[in-house]
Amino acid sequence: MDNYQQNFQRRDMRRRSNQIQPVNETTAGSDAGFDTDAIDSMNTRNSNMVQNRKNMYEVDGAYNTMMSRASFSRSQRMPQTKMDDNNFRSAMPYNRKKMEEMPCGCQDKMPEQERKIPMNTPMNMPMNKPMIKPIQERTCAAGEVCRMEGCALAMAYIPDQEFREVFEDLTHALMVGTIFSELDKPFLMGGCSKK
Amino acid sequence: MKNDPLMDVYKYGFALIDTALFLDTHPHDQAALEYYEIVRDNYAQAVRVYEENVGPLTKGGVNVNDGWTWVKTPWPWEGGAC
Repeated sequence: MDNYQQNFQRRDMRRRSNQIQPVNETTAGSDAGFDTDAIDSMNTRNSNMVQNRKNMYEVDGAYNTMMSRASFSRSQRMPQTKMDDNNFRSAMPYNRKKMEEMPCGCQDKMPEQERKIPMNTPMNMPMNKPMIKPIQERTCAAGEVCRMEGCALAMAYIPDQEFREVFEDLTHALMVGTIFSELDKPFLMGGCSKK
Repeated sequence: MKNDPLMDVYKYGFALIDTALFLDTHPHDQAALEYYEIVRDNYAQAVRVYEENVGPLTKGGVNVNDGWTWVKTPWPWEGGAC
């Protein structure tokens, strides 16, 4: 076994030990050590406990967030949670397919009943339920054409340049730093330089 | 300034570079290719006019019929090429 395999096995053992300790609240988790078989059997015994804990949260996204914070990141040992439209925004930061399926809201006006935000107010909201706003509420202003429909959030877009409007006076082009009048952006002409 | 042969070299050289930058991302733009040809010919002519009347711009522009003119014309810190 070479160094790479040894390091890989050591890291795998460390991950297994990190995984078992938060679940094992009722038993002596520290006695489990690095024994793989013991970890597997304990996971089986604790599966009911994990399922009960999941049922405490009505929203799967909250469950996922909690489990990831507690270092429960191994998907093959944890029950898979199903993503739906209500929890996908909080549990999954980027999903292009979902984004494309989501209605923007500026084209078709949705019925008033669907536009209601099913959101708990702070007064009646239980402590273990997060406030989740449905993504359907991400609408444009009324009557405005949404040119960025289908584009992902938090991404910058640059229009493709066309070869047009070249300066006839190339001495001026040299002074402003471009031969394209479209790219002549005299930002520095405002503010202090205008005095 | 408009009749300055060095300014012709500067402005056509700059236009040449800017057009080349555009062609890097639009290599099949026919209008840009035609403009590049015009600017390239003007740049070559501007360089030729300057080197014939003033002096060499690069080590490759020395006319040896007049001797080694690279060191005959004033250096930039001596007021040359201004």
